[in-house]
Amino acid sequence: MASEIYIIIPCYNESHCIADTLRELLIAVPAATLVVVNDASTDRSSEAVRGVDDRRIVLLELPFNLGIGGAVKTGLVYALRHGARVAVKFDGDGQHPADGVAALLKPLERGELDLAVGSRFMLGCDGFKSTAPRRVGIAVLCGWIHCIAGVKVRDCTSGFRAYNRAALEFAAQHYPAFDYPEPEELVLFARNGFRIGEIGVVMRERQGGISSIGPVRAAYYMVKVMLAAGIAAIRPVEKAVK
Amino acid sequence: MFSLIQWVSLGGSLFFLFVIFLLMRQKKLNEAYALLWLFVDLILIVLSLWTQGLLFLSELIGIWYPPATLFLVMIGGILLILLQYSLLLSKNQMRIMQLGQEVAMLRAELEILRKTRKDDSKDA
Repeated sequence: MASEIYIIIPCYNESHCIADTLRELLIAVPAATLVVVNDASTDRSSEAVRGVDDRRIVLLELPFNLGIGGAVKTGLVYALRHGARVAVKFDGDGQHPADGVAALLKPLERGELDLAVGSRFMLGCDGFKSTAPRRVGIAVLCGWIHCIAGVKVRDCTSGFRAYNRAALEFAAQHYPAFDYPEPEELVLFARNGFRIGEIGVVMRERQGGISSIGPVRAAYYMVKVMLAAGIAAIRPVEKAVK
Repeated sequence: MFSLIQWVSLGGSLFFLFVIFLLMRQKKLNEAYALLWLFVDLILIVLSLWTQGLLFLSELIGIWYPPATLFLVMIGGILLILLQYSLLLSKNQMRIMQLGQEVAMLRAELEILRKTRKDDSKDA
């Protein structure tokens, strides 16, 4: 029952795709424990997860909505407490490829990286690359975090990430617990001396649900994320956990 | 000697002081917050009583109408207290979040325990 690989899947109103995502992961990474964090979904996501009856699935049901950051953090803490050796963050909406998990874990197993980011921009023209305005937004954010923290990651908003034990211990404590934490997280990890690297994966268009970032909120998102990342860059370095 | 406006501000401040102590006595106001309220209120009382001080302070910052200095001090104090509230709200938000996370994890543990117990009793 206890495994060393924990895959954390934040889930908010994804009843139509979460079950498929879980089945794919169970086949692609049979040794993993899947931790689904239901962020107080208002649809039947919880039933959909229970429908996939498998002992490797753990369902954490938050009593109220915490936002993506808070949901992920719950999963990280759970993985840490259950002795995970590596943890993977994986979207429930079918964007992330289940067979990419192994690719992300490889540099961690070899001890080359502490945090591996699944990137849609590394494998030539394969896969879904998001829309043009969103790509511009991503490029701006990547430029910004490169400027302030020297992070060289091209797909800095990708939520597909793998953590080794040291990174997991750090993340469970310091993971930015609010909305859209991905770029800020990179700054945080870079500032605290973790080795970050990008691994090419083939992303898909989301299978269901709607993006958490609509066009109207894009500007708000950009400002908020840049501010959060900027603040993260001037915060004192946390006590080394490594 | 005292102008009407001084009496009014002194009376108001003293009344407020009384209210703060009353609330503390009834255990409705936590000492931690009362302290900042008391601090602001005491400054107002001092400036209401000490005319020379108020005049000096007003001249120093270039305020022609000395009672306006009282307002300035009061607004400064209110800002300080509001900031304290924002800090408190942030802290509470964090704590509520952690509580929610613990609840989710405990629920899952409980479910797993129940399931294994049911399986065990089936085996027996």
